[in-house]
Amino acid sequence: MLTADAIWWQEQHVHAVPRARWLWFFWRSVSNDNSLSSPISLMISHTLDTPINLIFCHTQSGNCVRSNVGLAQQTPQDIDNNTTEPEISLAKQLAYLLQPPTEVLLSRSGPLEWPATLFDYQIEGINALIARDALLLADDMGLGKTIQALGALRILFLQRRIESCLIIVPASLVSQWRKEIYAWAPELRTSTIRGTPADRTWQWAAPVHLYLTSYEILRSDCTDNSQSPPRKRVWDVIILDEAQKIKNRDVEVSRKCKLLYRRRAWALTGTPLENQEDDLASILEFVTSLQEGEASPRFKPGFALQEKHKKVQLRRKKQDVLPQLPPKLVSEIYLAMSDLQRKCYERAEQEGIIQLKESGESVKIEHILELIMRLKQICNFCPSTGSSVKFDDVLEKLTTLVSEGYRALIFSQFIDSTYGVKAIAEKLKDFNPLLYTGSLSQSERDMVIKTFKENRERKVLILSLRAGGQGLNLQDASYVFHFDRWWNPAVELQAEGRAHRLGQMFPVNVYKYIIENTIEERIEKILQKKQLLFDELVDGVSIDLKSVLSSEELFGLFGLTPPERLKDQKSTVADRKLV
Amino acid sequence: MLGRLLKIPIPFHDADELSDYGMAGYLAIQPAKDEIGYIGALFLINARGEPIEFTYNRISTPHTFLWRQADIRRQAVKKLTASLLSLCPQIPRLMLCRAEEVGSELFCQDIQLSIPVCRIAPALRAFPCLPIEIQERIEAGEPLNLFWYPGKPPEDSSGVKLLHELVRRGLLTEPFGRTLMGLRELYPEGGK
Repeated sequence: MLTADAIWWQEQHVHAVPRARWLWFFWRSVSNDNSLSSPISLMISHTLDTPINLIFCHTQSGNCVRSNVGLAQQTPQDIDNNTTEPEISLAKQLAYLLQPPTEVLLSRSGPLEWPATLFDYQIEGINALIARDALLLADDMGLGKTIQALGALRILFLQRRIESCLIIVPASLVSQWRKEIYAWAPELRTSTIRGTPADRTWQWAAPVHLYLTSYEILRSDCTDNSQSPPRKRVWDVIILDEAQKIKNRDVEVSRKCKLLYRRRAWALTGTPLENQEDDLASILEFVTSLQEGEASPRFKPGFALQEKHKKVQLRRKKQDVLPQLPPKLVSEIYLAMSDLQRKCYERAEQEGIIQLKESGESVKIEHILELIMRLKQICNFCPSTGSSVKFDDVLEKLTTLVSEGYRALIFSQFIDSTYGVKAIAEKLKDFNPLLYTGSLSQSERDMVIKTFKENRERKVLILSLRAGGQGLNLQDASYVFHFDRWWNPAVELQAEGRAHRLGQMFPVNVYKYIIENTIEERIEKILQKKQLLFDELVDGVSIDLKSVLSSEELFGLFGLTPPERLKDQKSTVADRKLV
Repeated sequence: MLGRLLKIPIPFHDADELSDYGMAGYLAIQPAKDEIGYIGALFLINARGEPIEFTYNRISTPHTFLWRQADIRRQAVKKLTASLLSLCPQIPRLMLCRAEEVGSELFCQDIQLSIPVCRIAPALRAFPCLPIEIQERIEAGEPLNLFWYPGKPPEDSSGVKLLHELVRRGLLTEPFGRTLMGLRELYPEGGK
């Protein structure tokens, strides 16, 4: 092994070469001619151990000077005086140019190690993220939006084009994102912002590449003070996962996300438009760069919004890019209640309608919603006996599929032990199910998911729709039961997407329960209309809109008409949070 | 009185180093746009294609009718290469250059290296070579001729292992493109 001092090259003496006479003359003239400038060497550090690397130029004399743009045109005096202040140093420009090209970087046999081969559409998505400052990545659930974002980040960091990134995700997905970062971008250092305010202070100050936090923490730490940790710097990239969280521009977290200074803004969501065009507008207000001194844009439904949408959205559907993904088979199961359950239901409905009528002009939308909720609960379980035709059917199917070696997810919007997931879990105790709800701590949730993935004896995972409906990878299950229906088909699609995603080996069977001649059947008709709305708006990028349930529609569920003051009001029903 | 804490480094092996194939040096020489000189760069990469060193320089050749162009070119390339080698602080395991840019005489006669030199040429084009060079043909995306001096190293040598790793990753000739991009960035008026 040669040491640094060893001579590994030497110029052959010109006298040793035949015809030296005239060559010697030539050599002397060249050596006397100051036509050879000083060679300049750039040492490029290829490690990513620190977010920023300084690159120095070495002159032939061995002196070390900081590189500047246009070095070849500058005299050493200029360099010493630092008379020019270029925006991007020469070394940084070269550090970017000399990196392997993106297609080589994305190749499995390239310089970067990837845990799996990227699909073509994912490479296209990564290229789109790298090329654009603003992108709304709206691929179907399960297509690997997280992977695409991390792949793009990795390459941008490697190419020295970015130095900091803020990733904001739902709290339930922080652990998952950490795992994905570790798998897909292991060289990027991450600071997870969570815990006590004192902990979060030093976490914000850590010198890392990625800062990972939740919407809730951001809402706390991003204050009106422009020196609050998330606001006091200009982020090279900010990523919002499940960006529909900011669909309502009037909520605090939405406002605060848009306050953050950013050079690049990426929003990831499988359901960008859940209810109305204002949802999309709010998300698109984030999907734009924002420098210091600038005001956040404001979009209104209309042509400008449509144009912006077309420019920034990248959306692919599963059936288009992953024909090899096992199919999803959706079955709607209409069941008839038992007599006793029917009696309880009808009594509750009649009593509710009477109360609504008696309220007269003072009736509110909330009264309608309370009644709907009550009736849906009775559709789940009879309040008198605890019996349930839905549960009977689930049990019958579970018995079969478990015996065949399959595993299942059961979603319900209710948590309680009378009508919700706890009731289901209690009745399915022979199957030793796992329970995942929002009341669990983050570590408990992680443990539940880990147990479900690693212990194949646990065949059933019961989840509350809000807590478990998004972000989780649960491809181990190939059966999904919607015990009760929610307003928003996008939410149900999200839930189904936990199982029907990359990595799924079997066709996914989805069962949706509807009790005949009840509020559920009436809601189902509305849901079918809303699914058409979603397809038209998001996939067609058109602005031909309807939106939420109107008061007439809500009251019409019970054959009632709304009072005058409530007519023509758009309801916020679909914005209501799940229980 | 409290003693000062001594800083004792913790010995470790970087897993990457254990499987390190070393570096490959890519030498690129281009005529200057104004045709009164040459620009050149020595680009060192590791086996994964990551940049390690980039050394660049230019030389102006005299306007004279007394010398043959080939001699001017030969001397200029020699001086330019020597200047790049003189400053490059790290030693590659292998030196690679394009046969269309670097003639046989540079490393066979003018400059002696203690590492293997490999000139690369497309197989479908004819390039002159000296009898002391060993010719080999490989497939690396396209058929290529390799001209080794001073002879092809043994198969188990680090230079050949490095070469095979670069071929496997599609990085045998790709770095020449990056070298030229770097030169064009540095000498926007200097390169063709």
